[in-house]
Amino acid sequence: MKQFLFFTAAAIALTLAGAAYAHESTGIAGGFVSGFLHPVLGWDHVVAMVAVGLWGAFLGSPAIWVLPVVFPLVMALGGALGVMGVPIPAVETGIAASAVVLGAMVAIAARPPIWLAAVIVGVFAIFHGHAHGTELPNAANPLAYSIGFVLSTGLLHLSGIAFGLLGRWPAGKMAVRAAGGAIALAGVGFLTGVV
Amino acid sequence: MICSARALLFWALLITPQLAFAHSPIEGINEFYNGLLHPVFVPAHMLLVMALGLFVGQQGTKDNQVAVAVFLVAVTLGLMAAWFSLGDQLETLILGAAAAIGILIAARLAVGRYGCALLTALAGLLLGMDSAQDMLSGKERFISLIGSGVGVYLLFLYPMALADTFSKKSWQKIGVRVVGSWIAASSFLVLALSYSPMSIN
Repeated sequence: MKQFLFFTAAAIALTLAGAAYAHESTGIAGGFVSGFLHPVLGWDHVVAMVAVGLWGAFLGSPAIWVLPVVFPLVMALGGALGVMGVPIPAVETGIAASAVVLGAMVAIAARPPIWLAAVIVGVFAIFHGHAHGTELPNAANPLAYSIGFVLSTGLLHLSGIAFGLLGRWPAGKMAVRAAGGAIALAGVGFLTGVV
Repeated sequence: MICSARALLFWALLITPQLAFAHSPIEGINEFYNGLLHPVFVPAHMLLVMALGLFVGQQGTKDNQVAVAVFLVAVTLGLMAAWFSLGDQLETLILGAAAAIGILIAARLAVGRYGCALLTALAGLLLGMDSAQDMLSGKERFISLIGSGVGVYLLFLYPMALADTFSKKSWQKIGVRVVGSWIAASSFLVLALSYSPMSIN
């Protein structure tokens, strides 16, 4: 009888347990949130996006707006390749390398012509877009997911631009270059698997 | 004892709270408000109408007053078509239009009065035609379509006013261009998905 009561109590406890929907990626809101968090939760994405903003701010006009405009457009191209199932070799290596190269550009205060800066950023944008794009078909709401991750990427650029604007002052310029160096080092860590 | 255990189980099952899954995403509001909120809850509509508003605002509202009026006429015609169930499943075209207009915003291309009017006419027609809510019919469908028309037009006016106001300083113009590139990127990705062999839709 005790055993019967135990199982009855267990059955009652099971029926009382409601489904936890707090972290469920359903509907428009769920798709948006999972898309928004995708770039933010990967440190390799975060540092590379911040580096794009930093470099844009460091180079000044017109790079400050050309790079953040070029990046999402080319990233969409890379995303489309990912969505279509077109393989790109060494995507993760490309993402890590983007942190190394873009961080190093800021650290050494490189000032290439704007077209070359756009090409460098654009090439790396394809790797980042491909990584996001492969997740798109599994999203609860693909359009909300894509809006989320594009918005999140843009806000990371903005963070880099905001910090990069410190470069107007001599001490700030040093801080921006140091941040670039730190990003490049983090990129080396991603490449080697240390981070 | 068995009886009391069964009774306990019965009452426990009865009082167990369950989630209520509604048939409509917005229960408890009337057809007009359902229509009004329709463009807000359909991301493709939201992208196109925002892109169009930003685009007209960027081109200059003073020079493009005709486009603002054309949009109203085009949306009305589209809603009439939706009333007669002409046009359905237009999301691909809507996303294509949003991507194209997003690129025009990012590139800050001047298309002239006629080009602007033509684009607003096409976009308005698409938005109107795709605004029907299939589960509604008769008077309810009519009222919901009127709500959608008001919603689409209001959503068009807000970003237009924003882009028009944000056309004085260089950083403001840059902001509008960046948002245009975001809209283009989001729309393009989902367009690619609709043609993808991996698509689950």
